[in-house]
Parts: sequence; structure tokens; C-alpha cells
Amino acid sequence: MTFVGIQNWINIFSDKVFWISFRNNIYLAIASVGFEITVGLLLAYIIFIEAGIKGKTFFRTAFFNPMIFIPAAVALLWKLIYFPVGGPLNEILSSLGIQPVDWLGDPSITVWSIILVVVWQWTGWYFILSLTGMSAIPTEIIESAIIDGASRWRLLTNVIIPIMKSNLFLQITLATTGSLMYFDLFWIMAEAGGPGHSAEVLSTWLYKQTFMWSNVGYSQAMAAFLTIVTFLVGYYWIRQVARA
Amino acid sequence: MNARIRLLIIYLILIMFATWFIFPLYWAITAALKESGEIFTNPWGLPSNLTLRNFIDAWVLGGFSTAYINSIILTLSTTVVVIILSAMVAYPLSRFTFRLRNALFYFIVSGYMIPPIAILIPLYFMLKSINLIDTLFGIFLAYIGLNLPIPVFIMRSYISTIPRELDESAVIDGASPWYIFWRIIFPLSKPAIAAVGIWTALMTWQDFLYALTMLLSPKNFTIPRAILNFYGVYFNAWGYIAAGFVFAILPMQIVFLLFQRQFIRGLTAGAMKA
Repeated sequence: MTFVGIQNWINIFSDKVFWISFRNNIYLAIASVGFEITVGLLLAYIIFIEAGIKGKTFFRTAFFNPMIFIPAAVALLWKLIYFPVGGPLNEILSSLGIQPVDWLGDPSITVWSIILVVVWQWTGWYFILSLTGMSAIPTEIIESAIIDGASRWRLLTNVIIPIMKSNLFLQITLATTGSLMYFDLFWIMAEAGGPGHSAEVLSTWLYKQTFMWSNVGYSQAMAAFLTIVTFLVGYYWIRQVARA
Repeated sequence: MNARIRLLIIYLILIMFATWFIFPLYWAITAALKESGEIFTNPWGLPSNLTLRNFIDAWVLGGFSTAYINSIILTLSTTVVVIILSAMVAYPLSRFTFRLRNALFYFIVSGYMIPPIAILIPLYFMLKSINLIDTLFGIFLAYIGLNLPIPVFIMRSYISTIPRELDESAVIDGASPWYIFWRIIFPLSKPAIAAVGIWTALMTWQDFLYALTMLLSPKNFTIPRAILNFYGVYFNAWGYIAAGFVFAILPMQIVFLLFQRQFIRGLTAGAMKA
């Protein structure tokens, strides 16, 4: 073993694919917070506040269910659904008169097609976390706000979200750290990292460097980078949870 | 806005999302029941001729009997060991006073923030040097370490809520810490045990990254690893892949539908404590 100083770090920071991967992790984090948590919160609020809805148990089960599936199996199922010729999704689109889309072959959309499946699998998880948080709010608080004439929207933004602050920060902690570590769907759905490495994430790039090409120096620098970033992000949001 | 129109819109939103979440499962089940040509000619309808051919073939060709056994053995053994170990770690961390107690606790729990892939690389070379790659025992050891942080957190939070008077009176009666742990603390921790168990079982059951790296021969494959291998060979036979998907999700689906309430409570308790 020879000491190479910061050469490994120079290598990763001058690697274009490293930056594409990191950017894709950030896209995933944005989608997780912007879609999974937001939609999960709104769906939970509908189930929570609308007394007249029938079949609440059914909706709750349906929303939550994808999360218990094995991600590797989900990835393979969606590869068939996304199949460009004769795949069920493009069949629906063509029956609506929409041009077929090459979901996993077009470098400008591959990463988003995969993120859509991640979102499909995990929105129900944040839905359940929000629903659990809301259900723990004392009913008197909700009732007195309704008596005071608060609309449902004001009730959500001015009463429920402030009370649920630490719950929501916790969801953001899970979503952002989880997005940085994410591996399964990107590995399986974007064989070889997608067209032109366009759908590489840090974990898949790191995996290839280690187990396919044995660039252990490079990959260990990258692992250190990933760990530090995840730690800092996790630490920041956990502090918000504690403060809220 | 008219109350009825309002309710209609809310139902539309809920049904739209429910459809999105359920349709892929519907497609997989119906495709698996169709004869091979019909998947393409009739992609979304119900099968016109029901066939179990896909299921029978996929079960054998995909090696699902081996994969089921391996996944079930690994999940159960990891879960049992993680429950016992996390309780044994959490007990002194919540009851005894010693130097660096909190530092030790945060050190263990912060393991959750380390990306599994960053742990995997050194662990892989370590297990390789003692010939534990491609063995169920090797990956079992890895799963225990990987899954321990959150359970320790859940267990400690729960044990801290058990009144101290209970073990103090046992101490007066001359009971040893070992006795107190097994006879008082552990039996009283049932809700935490359930939460830890569900959390650990799901994490182990779903794992792909470690199975991909550490399990190399089909006799050791778990379900996620087996289905990937199956796809690699039969990716053109969509009926097989769809049936394989159904096999892959079936055991956890049954557990979930039978114990839905405990399942959701256990997982949310796990996350909320984290």
C-alpha cells in the first residue's frame, strides 16, 4: 500500500459521472420531500378530516401496501410496465393517442422514470407517518379550531402542521438520508447506469468502482464522501426535530 | 362549493391515487394468469383463459422453494437475534450509570446514518478473509450489525418508561441484573419487541444490496436475489416474471393483511422513535 495523499479525492471530484450521480441523489431527495411527504400529508389530511368518506380502511391499505413489496421485485415489475414496445404503460398511452415513450432508454427521462417508481413505493409510508401524527393530536384542539370557524385549509396550515412539526422534520430526515443511500431500483432498472450513466446514483457508481473494477481507493474516498454528506444532512434535520 | 360536488372531488382524488398504487399489482396478477400471447394482445383486461402454467414453471425455474426457505430462515433468525441483542444492549444503557453511557448510546444509534454501501465494502473484504462470503451465516452476521441501531433506540426508549420501582424491589430481594432483565424487563417490553421485530423482519426481507454482493450461488439465494437471477434468464417470458413477482411479494403480503394493525403500529413506532 502506498500513501497517495489527496489523489483519490481529486479523482472523484474531477469525475463527471460522480457529479451526475450526486445530482441524481439530490433529484431523488427533492422528489421525496416534494412529492412523497407533501402528497402523503395531504392524503392523510383528507382521510383524517373528512368524516363522510367511506372505505377509509381500504384507502389506507391501498396507499400503504407498495411499501411492503421487495424493492428488487418492484424494479423488475416496472421494467415490464415501462417496456417501450408492447409494455402496458405505452399501450395505455397509445390508446389515448399519445406517442410511446422510451421510459428507461431516453437519457433525459430515465432517472425520472426510476424516481417515479421510488415515489410510487414510498409515498404510502409518509402518508402513514402523517396520519399517525395527526391522530395523536388531541381532538379538543381540532374541534375548537372548527368552532372558531377555521376552514379546512387554514386548519391544516395554521393548526395541524405547526403541531406536527417534529413529526414532519423526522419524515424529512428519513427521506433525505434515505435518498442519499438509495441503491436497489437504480441498480436494477438502469442497467449499466442508464444511457450514458444518466441514471447513476452515488451508491451504484460506488458499487461498480468497488466490485466490478476494483478501484478500491477511489471507491473508499467516495464512500467517505457519501457517509459525511449523509451524516451532515441527517444531523441537521435531527436537530430540527429536537428543536421543534 | 356544493357539499356533494366537494365529496365527489375528494373521492376522485382518493380513487385516482389508490388506482395508481394498486394497478401494477393488478397487472402482475392478471398477466401471470394469462397465456403467453395474451399479455400483449390484451394488456390490461382480465385473462380470457385462466392458466396456472406461469406459476408452476416460475416456481421451479426461479428456484423459489430454495429462495423461500433461505429468506424465511434468514429473516426469522436475524429478527430473533436482533430482538434479544437490542434488548440486552438497551437495558444497561437505560438503567445503569457508567462513564460514557450516552456517548456509547449515540455511537450505536448513529450507525443508522451510515450508508449500508459504505459499511458493505470493508465488511465484504473482512468476511472474505474468513471464508464467509456466499454463506448464509456470513450474511446473517452482516444483517445483525446492519439492523441493530434502530432497535436499540426503540428498546431503550421503551425500557425507560418501565417504572424503576419494579427492578429496585427485585434488587432488594437479591435478584441479579441477569434475572431482572429476563424475568422483569424483557417480558414487560412486549410492545417494543413487536416494533423491533416487524422493523427488522421487513428490513431483512427486503434487502437487496447485501444479498447481491454476498450470496453468489443459487443454493444460497434469498428471494430478491433469486428473482433478479430469474429475470436475467427469462426476461422475455413476461408471464414468468409476473408470476415471479407474485411469489416474491406473497409471504409478506399475507403477514401484512393478517396483522395489518400491529404491522403499521410497529413500523410507525419504530420510525417515530428514530
